[in-house]
Amino acid sequence: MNGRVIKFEGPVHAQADRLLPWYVNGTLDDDERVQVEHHLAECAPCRQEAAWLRAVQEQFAEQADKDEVSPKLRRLHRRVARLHGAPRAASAWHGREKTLAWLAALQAAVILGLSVIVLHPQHDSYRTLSAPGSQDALLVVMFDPRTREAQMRELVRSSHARIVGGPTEVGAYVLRVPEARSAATRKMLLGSPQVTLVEDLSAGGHP
Amino acid sequence: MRSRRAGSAGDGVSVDEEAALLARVAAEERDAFEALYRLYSPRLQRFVRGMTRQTALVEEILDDTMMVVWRKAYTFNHQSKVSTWIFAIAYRQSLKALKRLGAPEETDLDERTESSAPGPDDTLQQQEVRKHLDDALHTLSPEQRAVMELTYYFGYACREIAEIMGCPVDTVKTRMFYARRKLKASLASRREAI
Repeated sequence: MNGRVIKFEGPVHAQADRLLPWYVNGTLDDDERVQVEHHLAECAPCRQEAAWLRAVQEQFAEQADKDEVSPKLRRLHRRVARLHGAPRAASAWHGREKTLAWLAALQAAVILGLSVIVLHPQHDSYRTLSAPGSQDALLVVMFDPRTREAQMRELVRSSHARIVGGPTEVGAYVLRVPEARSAATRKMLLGSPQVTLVEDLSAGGHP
Repeated sequence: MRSRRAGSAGDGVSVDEEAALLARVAAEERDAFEALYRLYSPRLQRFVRGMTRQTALVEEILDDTMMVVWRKAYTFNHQSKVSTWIFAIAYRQSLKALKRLGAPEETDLDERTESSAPGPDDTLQQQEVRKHLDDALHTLSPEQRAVMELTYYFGYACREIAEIMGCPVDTVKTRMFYARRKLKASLASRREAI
């Protein structure tokens, strides 16, 4: 780079300002994040700047949704479903066979793992708040990694579900939903661009 | 929640699995290379297109990048994540392609860029971003666009971006600083033109 590099060792405001882009994208380490948060509490211009940067970030996220770069799990999930339901078009699928098999195995592992965790037999007389009632269905849900926490909360809330497990290592959550609403909730979640996978655990892992 | 995109392994593939895949590429296993290509080509296409703004170059740069990955996979030393390593190659290949194209190199003139317009309120600013961000990004240098893309599209930390771009962390912050200024100036000029 030919440009002059600015040394950011100045006042607290300048330091916090330079960190704001990564405060907004959530990648600061804890010390830096606390430093920025303390400064934001007392600096209106930085709060305004953070709001502007969030708008920028949201715009990039919208582009990402359009590009469909990331929600490949959803697309591949559909491909896996098609693979099970339709005769294989040999030439088109030949090269993808291993990847698809691997993804199917991954998916099965996620569902199996969550099944073991969530459906592990519990003593009849004891039921935790998160344990399913007899009228509840359990859904394994994976969100697009770009989904913000607020979006996820809103999605879960509006689907009348509760998170009762996760995230797992691969980012899957278990949602509890009244059985009567299970189909509608699944449909709603599958239709959301923020959701990449929905499986009904209580139905044996079938989509 | 951290918005995790290409900043770490995506598509349900763990960091370790990606490293294992790259190790197989280093052993010249073609199916591993194809799997890696499928895993990375959409992300790299987006990154290269966003950074260079040269649609005609994207496929060429992607191919060049993946050829370097194929040839140099054995040099991956696990000091960084596979994604960081591959994005660094794509970044260098993009700069090379732009240089071949005769694109001007980054200068320090950016610091003269300053918006003289008064700042609008938050709501108006956010509406401007929604409408005009894509056009405003054209006013940035490729290096500045790379920082914006890596931060907001792919969710990388500043330190990781420094690794990808092969520069100090302060350089990344500087590029972001000027990128923000230029974006605001561009958006403000549109406001004044209305």
